[in-house]
Formats: sequence, structure tokens, C-alpha cells
Amino acid sequence: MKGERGRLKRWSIDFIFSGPTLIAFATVLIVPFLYGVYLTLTNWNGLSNHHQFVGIANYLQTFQDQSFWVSMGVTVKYVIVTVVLVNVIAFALAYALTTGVKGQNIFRTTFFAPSLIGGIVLGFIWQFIFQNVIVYLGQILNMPALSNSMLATPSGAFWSLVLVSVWQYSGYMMIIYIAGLMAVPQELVDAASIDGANALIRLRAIVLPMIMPAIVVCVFLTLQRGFLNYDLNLSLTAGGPYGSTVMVPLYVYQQAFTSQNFGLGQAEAFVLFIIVAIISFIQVYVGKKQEVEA
Amino acid sequence: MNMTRKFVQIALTPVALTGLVFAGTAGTTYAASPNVTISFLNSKSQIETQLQQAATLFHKQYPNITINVSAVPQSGTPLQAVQALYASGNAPTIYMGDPSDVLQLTDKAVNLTHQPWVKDVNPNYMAPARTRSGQIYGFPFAIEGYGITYNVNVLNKAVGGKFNPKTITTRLALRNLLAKVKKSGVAGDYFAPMNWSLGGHFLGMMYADQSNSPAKVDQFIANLSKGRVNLSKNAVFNGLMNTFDLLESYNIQKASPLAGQYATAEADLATGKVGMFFQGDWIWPDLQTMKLNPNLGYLPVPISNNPKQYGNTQIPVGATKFLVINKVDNTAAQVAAAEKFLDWLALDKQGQRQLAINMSVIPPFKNNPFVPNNPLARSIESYMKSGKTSEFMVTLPSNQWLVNGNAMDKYMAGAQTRAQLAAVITNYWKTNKTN
Amino acid sequence: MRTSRLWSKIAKWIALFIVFCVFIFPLILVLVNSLKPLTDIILNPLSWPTSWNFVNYTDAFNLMDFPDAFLNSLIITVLSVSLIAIGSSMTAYLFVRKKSRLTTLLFYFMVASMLIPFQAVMIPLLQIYGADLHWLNNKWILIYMYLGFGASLAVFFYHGVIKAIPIELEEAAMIDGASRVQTFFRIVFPLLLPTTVTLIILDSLWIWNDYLLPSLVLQSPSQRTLPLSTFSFYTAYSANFGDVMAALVMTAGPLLIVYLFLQRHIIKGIMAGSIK
Repeated sequence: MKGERGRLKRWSIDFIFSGPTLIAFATVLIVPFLYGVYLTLTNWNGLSNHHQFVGIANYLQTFQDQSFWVSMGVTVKYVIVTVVLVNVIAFALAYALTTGVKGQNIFRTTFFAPSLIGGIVLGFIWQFIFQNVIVYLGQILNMPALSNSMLATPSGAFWSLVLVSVWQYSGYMMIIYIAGLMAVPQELVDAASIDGANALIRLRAIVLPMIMPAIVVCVFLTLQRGFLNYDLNLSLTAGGPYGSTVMVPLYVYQQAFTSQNFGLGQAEAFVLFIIVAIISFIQVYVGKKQEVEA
Repeated sequence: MNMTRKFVQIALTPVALTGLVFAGTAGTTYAASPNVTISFLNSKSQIETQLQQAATLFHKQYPNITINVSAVPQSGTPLQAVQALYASGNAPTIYMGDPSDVLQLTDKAVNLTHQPWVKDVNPNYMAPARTRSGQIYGFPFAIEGYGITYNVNVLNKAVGGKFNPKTITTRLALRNLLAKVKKSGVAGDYFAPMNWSLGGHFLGMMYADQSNSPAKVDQFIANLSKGRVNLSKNAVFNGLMNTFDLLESYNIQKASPLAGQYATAEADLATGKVGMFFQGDWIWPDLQTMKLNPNLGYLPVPISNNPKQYGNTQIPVGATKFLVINKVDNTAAQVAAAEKFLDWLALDKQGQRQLAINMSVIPPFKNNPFVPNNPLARSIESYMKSGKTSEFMVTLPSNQWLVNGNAMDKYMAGAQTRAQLAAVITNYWKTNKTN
Repeated sequence: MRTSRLWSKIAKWIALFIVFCVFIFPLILVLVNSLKPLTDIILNPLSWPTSWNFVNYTDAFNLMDFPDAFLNSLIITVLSVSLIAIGSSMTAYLFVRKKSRLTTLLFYFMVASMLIPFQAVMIPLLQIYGADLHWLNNKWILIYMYLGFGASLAVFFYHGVIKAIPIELEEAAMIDGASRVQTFFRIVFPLLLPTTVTLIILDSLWIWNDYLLPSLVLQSPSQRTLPLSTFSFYTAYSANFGDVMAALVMTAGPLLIVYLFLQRHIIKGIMAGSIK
């Protein structure tokens, strides 16, 4: 009797801790997601009042849809490049800006400022820079390399996307790295340097393991943002030139809404989710293993 | 479907209680009152402000009707925006959609067949809103046309006198004109690479110019879908692409054609940095925002050297936006108010003036006495008056412009040959499901 | 030894300064062009404004209905971020301290959910909350949705940090008779301050700038947030860059101020934490 009541009380405390959040999470994200998965088994066009159950036909079509896999290739390339560049730059900035450099706060604020500008507008501003400002510079400086917009060639457009992503996310990730670095006890670092460890050894033996949670979070976030990048892709290149920079979220969107294959679009979104989930799971699992547990 | 809904509702019961609290504060229930508020989803963002002014003016005349105008998010198509609103059970009372949307919405929209303005519309423009059984579900909102826009002053200077657009009826004539413009020290044209423009409008003429009979054009498209057309041998396709090459060879952006931009092209045409720009009359509101007021006109896009060729003297003109009234998610009073607003736009002097003068839209209504006060609209009207118009292909499948427009861009960049382009277009029609 | 140190310091500073210039260039460009009329922006994006011209700002201010939109954005952002921070830190705490198969599974479930593309849940979400339940068109349901969408990342954030907090601190408090909830708020939550501040910054950015979700949930004009009201200046085909840039400065400005303020607190919080 008493044990029963105790268990009930413990359950209710657990519920106070996590109940509201988990309910919101489940009802806002999971239920609609499952409903969305159900829609992948239909031929709904997103609009009509009727649809039929078509089984796994949409998945079979996903595997035959060449353009989908082409855009998956572009996406993977983009993700690899941005994850590496953003994290290396963000960490370097954070590391440099936690050592008491002159003007530290101004630097931090400026590096972080690009994160203040949201998705669509950001793409428009950069489009303006690539197409007008840089071209204008190229013309007055008489530099042919700059006088033609980078966005006009497939590789130029790809690297433009990378450049803007690095500009936008480095400062954001820098903040997380700074928070991580500040939690590294200075005594530990000092002790190591008295023991004769040079800067590189201190970094590898002490700092990196201590900020593993921050690394896990940042790599995860850059992976996630890379794979799910939609706003920037749409507003900067709109997939151009001639569809060469269409990444999967934009592709899926066009499939569902422009081509009105809603079920197929949903199925392709689900395939994207599975792929990203597997990659990220491995990343987080490996990363968490390295974390220092108290 | 019902089963899923049930499942969803059951799954959500834990939050239902909290939801009640929210619903209590939302205050969406009003006591019965003669005042009606209706929503208008606008997908012609160039005239957002003007549309709001019209709504305010309408409210002055009908104080019990308030119209909330909102714009389609620019991250998607109009149809996608309204799709989201249908899904959310919040369909706008009036939806301004693309022509190909209308007949997809017949189970949600009000039948407008017996509205008083129907008799005033030129039946040609009504086609996208009419079902096979003759029922009408859309209000044609705007007539638009496109072709080679030219700067009158630049061309006058190039030909050394008053330029007469009627003299350009062949590709050769166009070539000579471009050469003269170039000689006068101005770039021949701006050939901008937007895929919606090249795929939707430029390539649109390839279908429209096949025949002056719409039935034969439909037949041509049906044959394309069945794979029965050899496009690389098609005279209209090749003629049109020869003109494409001509426009490209005088393009101010020739060095890097895909770097061309819509807004720069508008400004360059208006300020006389180029002589011509292939585009529609929807550029006018932008020019006004830029405080530019040039004298402009239209030339057809010639596809051969035969002045009698259909298409060489015509420009494509059609109704490009339709208003649909939703019966779903709206009360009878709201539907009635929306119908009132449509009547006002079509029949009331004030409304007619708003449409034609303030929004600078060519009205599809024969009874509207106003002519938009801009040279592009006047040029289009003169083509309409002399019967020199071809079909604006407004009901092609919704992804036609995207797939084929990208292929046109690839051709423009020199990254594929004309034969490859023809193959992409042929394949598009053979495999397209949405057709 | 000392001079080489000095040199490396200078080299570091110069490198930082170069990156600084690259980062700030687009921002200055926005600021400068926001003071120019549209034709000047298109004809010469690099010119200085010929005069101090705040027309774009007054235009944008009026068109956006700035005060109302600002207030809506403020309410939604503050409430959503507070709920996310409190709810998620408590959830993460439970996941760490009551580690079981179930909580581990739930944790990975939440992490995986962050990878769901929004487009994949958009239409179903609207059908459920709109067509089925009729709960849309008010800020409260939007705030609830932000809790649902934001919880995963926040739990993920807190999880790693709570793991590093020694349990002995809490045990002492428990012995003194504090309940678990009290212990959490008195002992654990203050220790999470740096993470909380970081989270507040990141989530505020997301919610303050978010366009798609509010555009779907809030339909009446009186409910519009800043991004929703900014939007009418630019279209898919052309943009009134002057107004857009002015609106951008006015939308991002408040965030920058909050960030500057919070940054000082991060440092203070860490200092306080390390003294113990």
C-alpha cells in the first residue's frame, strides 16, 4: 500500500519534470510526423478531398527518381564542406577570443551578428552582393574574374552557398564553443603548462576532451542545418543555375508543391530523414562516448 | 482518412484540456452582427499596396464589409500557400490564384456561373476557369501580355526617326533592328535568364505558335505527351530557338548570360542602357517603385522570315490571375460579401477605376472604360484591338516552367545543345504525371 | 621568448581583424544602403548616401506597423524561450538522473526528431490544429508549438551539461529536506546558467526571425510578428531593397542589443560559477 503510493508520488514528480515538454513534443512534432508518414502511402496531391492508398509505390518511385539522388549528392557535398569549415573556423575564433585579446567583445559581437539575420532576407542580401556589389567592384577595378556573377556557374553558385553558410553559422557555433571553453577550469590548463605541455598538447589533451559536449552539439547542429537547408538555397540560388544547386529540402518541396506529387514529396522527405538520422546518430553516439562523465 | 483524423484526435486528448483554455482566450466567436470581415489572399505582390487601397475604398462604400488583404509568402507558390490555409481550416474568402489552380478547387470554391459580370468577359479569357460542363469558378482579375519590350527613345534614335513597330514582322527585320541599336552605341537587348520567364513565357510561344486554333495547340501538346512529336525537327521550335540565339547574340549579358537579373534588366531598359528586354507588362509597377517613367512598347517575337507566319505579328495575351471564392471555412455572409466585392471590381465605376488605373491592370471586362495609364498596357491594348494576339499558355502543368526553364537556362549557358534541349522537353512531356 | 609571444599575439590579432572585415562588410553595406533611395542602390551599391535620408526607415516603420509587430514578436519570443528553457532543463535533468532504457530511448528519439524537415510535418500539423481542432490563429498555440519544436535541441544541450554536475551537491540539499523540484531550482538550474543564456540567445534568434510557422499559424493582421510584416516589401521577382534593408536593421537591432546585454551576463555567470 505504502509502496504503491510512493511509486505514484514518484511518477507524478517525474511528470512535473518532463510531462509538459514531452506532451508538447509529441503532439506538435511526432503525431504530425506519423500522419505525414501515413500520407507517403497515398497518392494525395495535397489539395484534393480524395486520395487512395497506394502502398509503397512512392518509395519505389523515390529510388528511381534520378533527380532526387543527384540533389542528394549535391547536398552531401555541401554538408561535408560546411560542417568542416564552419566548425574549424568557429572553434578557432572561439579559441582566439577566450584568451583576452584586445577588442574581444567587439570581435565576438561582430562574428555573431550575421546570425541575427533570418533565412530568406539573408539570401536576398547576399544575392545582391554577389550579383551587384562584387560585379560592380570587378568592373571598376577592371578585374574580369569578378565582373561576372559567381551565381551564374554551377560551381560558383555552390561555393557561394558554402561561403554564406560559413558566414552565417560560424559566429553562432562560436558562441557554443565559447561557452564550452569557458567551462574548462583554468587551473587544469595552468597545471599542464607548468608540467611543460605546449599549446598544441594542452589543446589536444585537455581542452578538446573537456569541450566534447560543445563539439558534439556543434557538429550535430551544422549537420542538421546543412541537410535541412531550405531558405538560403531558395533565396540565394533558387537551385540555379539550371537546377544544379537544388538540395534535397528544396527538391522535396518542389516535388510536393510545384509538381503536386505530395505523397512522393513526403516519401522523399522521409528518406532524407532516415539518411540524416543514421548519420547523426552515429555522430552523437560516438561523440557522447567521449564525453567526460562526472 | 476519417480513421486517421480520429486517431489524431485521440492522440491529442492530453492537450485538449489546455486547448480549452487557449480557445477561451482566442475570442473568435462574435455575436451576430451585420458586419462581415473577409480575407483576400493576394498573389500579385507588385500591387499589394494598391489592393489594400482598393479594399479601404470599398469599405467606405460598404461600411459593413472589411477586407483583410494578405500576401502569399514568397517562399512558395500561391497554390502552396492556399493549400496550407485549406489544411489549417482557414481558407481565405477570396484567393487570387494562377489560372491552372482554378479547376483544381472546384470542390471548395463557389460556382460563379450566374454572376452578373460573366457576360462582360471575353470568353477566350475565361477558359481556365470554365469546367467541361460550362460552369465557372474563377473571376478573371488581370490580363497580361508579353513580348519584346522596347525603349521608344532608344529605337527612335537607332533608326533615325520615328520607329514603327509594325515594320518588325520577321527575324531578319529584328536582326537589322538589333544591329542598328548596337550601332547607335546601346546594347541590343537584355535577355534575362529567369527560369519562369524562359520556361513559362518564351517556351510558351513554342506551344502557342503551333497553330492559331487553340484546339490544334491542345492536340500538339497531347501528341507531345504521347511521344509522337519529333521536336528537333519541329519548325516552330527551331524558328523560336533561332530567335532565342539572335536575342542572345545581342544580349548585354552575353559574356555570362546566367548572371542576368530581372531588376537590373528592368532598370537597364527603362534608363536606355539596352534597347529591348523580353518580358511582360508586370514590370511596370517595379519601374514606378524605382521612380522611372520611360516610354515603352511591345514587339512580337518573330519565329521565321515569313511576315505572314502566325506568331510573327502577334503577342501572347491572356488572363493570368483569377479570383476564387471559397465556400469552405467561410460563412454564407462572407461569401456574399466577397461576391459583392467582385461585382464592385467589375461593374462599379469606382471599382473599375481601382482595377485599371490604380492597380495598373488591364481589365478583362469589356464594360470597363478605363485604360491603365502606362505605355506597356496601352501597347497590349492596341494589339488586342487589332486582333493581333496569340494564346498565353497559362494552363500548362505547374512544373513545366521549372523543368523546361532550367533546360532553357542550360542551353543559354552553352552547357547543352539544342538537340539535348529538345530531348529534355520531349522527355518532360512523356513522363509528366501532373498533366 | 617574450618577443615571440608578442609577435604571435599581433599575428593573431591581425588574422582576427581580417576575418572581422569579411564579416562586417555585408552588415555595413546593409546599413549604408538602407539610407539610400532604390535607384541609387541598384545603380551603385557602393556609393555613400548623398544625404542622411531616413525615408526608407519611416516607410518601413509605417508599412510594418512596427510597434504592434514588435510587441507581438516580443511576447511570443519571451514566453516561448522561457518555456523551452525551463521545460527542457527539467526534462534533461530527469533523463540524466533517472537513467533507464526508457529515458535513454526518449532522449535519442528527441535528438532524431531534430532532423525532421519542417516541410514534412507542415501540412499534417495544420490539418490537426486547424481543420480538426480549430486552435489556430492565436499566439498561445504558436508558443505551445515552439515548445514542441524547440524542446529537442534544448534537452540535447542541457543533457551534456547536467551529466557533468556532481550529484553530491544535490544530495546535500535533499538531506536538508528540500523536495526534488526545489533542489532542481535552487542547486541545478543556477549551475546551468551559461547553457541557459546560450540557449536563450540561439532560440530567440530562431523564434524572432522565424517566418514560415507564424505565417501559417497567425492569420489575422493584428497578430503579425516582425518577419511577417516585413515581408510585404519584397517579392519573389523583385525587391525594394531600400525598405527591406531598413526593416532588417529595425528587426535585427533589438536582438543585437539583447545579445550584448546577455553576453556580459554569460561572463558574470561563469565567473560566479568558477569561484565556488
